[in-house]
Amino acid sequence: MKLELAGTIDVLIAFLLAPLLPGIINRVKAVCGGRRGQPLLQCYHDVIKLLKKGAVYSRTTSHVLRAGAVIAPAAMVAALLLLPVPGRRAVMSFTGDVVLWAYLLGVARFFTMAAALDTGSSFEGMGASREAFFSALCEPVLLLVLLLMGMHSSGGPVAALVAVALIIVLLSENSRIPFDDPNTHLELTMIHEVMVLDHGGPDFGFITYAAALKLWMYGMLFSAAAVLPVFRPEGWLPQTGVFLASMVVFAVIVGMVESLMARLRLTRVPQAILAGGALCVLAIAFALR
Amino acid sequence: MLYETMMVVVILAGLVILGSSRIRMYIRMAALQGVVLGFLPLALERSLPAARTALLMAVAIVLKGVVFPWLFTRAMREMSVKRERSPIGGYSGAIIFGILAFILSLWLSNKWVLHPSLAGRTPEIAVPAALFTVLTGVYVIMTRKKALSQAIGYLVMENGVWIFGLSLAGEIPVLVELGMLLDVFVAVFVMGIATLKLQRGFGHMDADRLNELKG
Repeated sequence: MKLELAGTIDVLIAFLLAPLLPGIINRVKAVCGGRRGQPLLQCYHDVIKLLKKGAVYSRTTSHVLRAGAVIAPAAMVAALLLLPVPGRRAVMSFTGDVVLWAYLLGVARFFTMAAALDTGSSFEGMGASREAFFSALCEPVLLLVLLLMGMHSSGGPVAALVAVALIIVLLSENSRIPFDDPNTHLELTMIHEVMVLDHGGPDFGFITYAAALKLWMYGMLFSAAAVLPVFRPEGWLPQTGVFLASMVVFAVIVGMVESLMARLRLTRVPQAILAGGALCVLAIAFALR
Repeated sequence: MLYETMMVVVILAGLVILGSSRIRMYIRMAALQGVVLGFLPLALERSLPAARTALLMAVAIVLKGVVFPWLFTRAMREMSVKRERSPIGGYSGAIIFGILAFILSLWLSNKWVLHPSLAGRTPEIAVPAALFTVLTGVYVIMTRKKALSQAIGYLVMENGVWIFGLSLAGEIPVLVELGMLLDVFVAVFVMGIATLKLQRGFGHMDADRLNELKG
């Protein structure tokens, strides 16, 4: 395993700027809908406010609920150490670390789901079951995308196919609109928000922050998949500049998708993820020749 | 690169047709395939007589991009059907079929040995893309129940044959190509009239329910 201490700065940038992404997405959605929208820094305010509060735990819950709010963010931070800014090295890297990365997210998901089940609410159990269903479908597509990004890094149709497949996966994984609506509370359709209903105070602050970190990591992947094939900047400052610019573009794309699309019917979701898989198979066929 | 991009667009349009339930989407995607394939001679680096190529391209693009979509849209409106209903195998099944068909086409194209005069100058993706498009068309004809969708499946199949013809055969007389387009035109025309007649005669156009003779 190789350690790269210069990558620490990238991790600090991620810690600092991750909550900005949901802000940009919300601003794009607000502008598209003709509203002024919440402040760009809303997510920071939310997290700080939540951290100042005290926690309340229901008597039906056990230590599993409390563990969920700690392990999930911790797994996200560990995963962040493995992911490089495009063109540079990550803090930790070894052969096959992408698999560890994918399954660290899996660990986070598992403990979030376990915490949701631990509350004993049938409503949260339903959300956990949907999360398990969708993520099980997403996982092969995500691994195919990672495989393709590893084996093929030139432009052309392959890069476009991979980028589109990655967008499908990341929208589903981050519970964004065609798959789940981050704005719906207390509706029978939601997935991620329903699982964390019983978390409050600092726990919920950690979970909100972890969700922002997850979005940031998928943004890094998107940046690597979309920018690297066409443009490879040299030097620290150009790399950082291009990376941050591509993150803004990424947030705008997600915001536009959310403004322009309606939620998919639940029965159509597997089909959409399957289509992502089909794109990957197609891309592999083109990349192999 | 241009040729590959075109093939990606054509294959993706085929996948959309497999996964969608809206007949309007079928019409649009078949038209997209037709127009992209109309420009195919430009992507093939081959010296063809300019006037002949231009004529072929113009006829193909006008026919597949304007005339057929118009015919189909009109038929769709007259029959007031908008959606395919419960195809055999479902839509997810159709996408899985699409993936398998693409893998099968790749495997087959590796097995087939091209004639030595073609081997060097045919793009590698031509054969799998053509096979995949033909298979998509056949699958749509086999599983979709509305006569209109089946007619569009026929058109998709013809698009696959078009890829084959243009990419593999070096010199096809322009008359043959134009004759092929005329065939397709007549076929689509007849199918359009037939589905209209079906609709008027029986009040529906489910090919499934046409299983008894009326004398």
